[in-house]
Amino acid sequence: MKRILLITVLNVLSYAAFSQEVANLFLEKFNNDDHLEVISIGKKMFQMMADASIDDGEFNKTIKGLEKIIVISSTDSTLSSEYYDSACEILAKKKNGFETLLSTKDGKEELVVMSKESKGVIKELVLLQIDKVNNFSLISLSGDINLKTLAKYSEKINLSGLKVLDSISKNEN
Amino acid sequence: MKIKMRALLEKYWNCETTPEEEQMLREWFEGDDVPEDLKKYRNNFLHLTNFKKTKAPASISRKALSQLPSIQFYPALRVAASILIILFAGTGIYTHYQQEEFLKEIFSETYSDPQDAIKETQAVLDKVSSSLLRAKDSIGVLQEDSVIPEEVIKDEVIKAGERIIQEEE
Repeated sequence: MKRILLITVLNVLSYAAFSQEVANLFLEKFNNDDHLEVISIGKKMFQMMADASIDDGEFNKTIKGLEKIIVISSTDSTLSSEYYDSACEILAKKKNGFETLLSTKDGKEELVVMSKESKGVIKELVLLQIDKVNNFSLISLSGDINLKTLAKYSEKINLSGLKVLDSISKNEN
Repeated sequence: MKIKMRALLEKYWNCETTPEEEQMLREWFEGDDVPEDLKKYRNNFLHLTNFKKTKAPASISRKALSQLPSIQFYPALRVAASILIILFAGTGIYTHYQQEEFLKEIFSETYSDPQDAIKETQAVLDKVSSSLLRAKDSIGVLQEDSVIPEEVIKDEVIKAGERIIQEEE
């Protein structure tokens, strides 16, 4: 009897202990919310993109380790603050394992970039943004994310902003 | 017969007798055919027989029964508790499964055409890098072609972290 109890409890706990991505946790809270737009690009599509962009070696190299891109956005000015605060709360929870790469707040926008590492590899990169007209966006990249590869890609296509990411990456190393 | 009963008695002391053999011993000790050296054991067997035949008065039986704890309900409680646990576990697993299905539906591929997906992916990378560029402006260290000193970056990242902690508090 005790053995059956223990097995049942462990089974239930194993579900509770399962690590979830930020986008999953966020959408669990805002279930069936019509004010949110969700764009999802998964592993299958990454493979198709790689086949479709044979000439763009740098693009293929960048997306090679990626497994998923999720973009959650809203233009609802009354709800965007709530979405932003909820997302910050999820990211700030220690058990979710995120660390801040960047955080800024000025008159134009609030922006947070956070990452989650596992065994020295960044597994999830999240960008959270709300601008002055209350447009909210949450971008989540999942997979084996190489910050240097991302930085090199932006250099190649003149996106110099990712040099900051490269500098931070060098600083962390 | 006596030899057989002695052997049976020996077996009794070794706790090897069957209920039928113990009954035989009891009947034998009730009789008069018990050797002198074994009569001292008569009371052991007769005591059991007498005990079996004794019946408690009704008043004592009622009193004893009323003082017994409600042990008879424990099995029912255990069964009820087990059913509840299985119900809760089942509900939890079912809810989790439903949630998984919901998330699978939400996170199914948005695009069927890889070209559309490529444009969106490039836009995402563009947004990430342009956000970082704006962030770099706001911390006031932007200089064209300059190298941001490591100490400045480290300091700004620590300050950003502290800001978040203060906001949480």
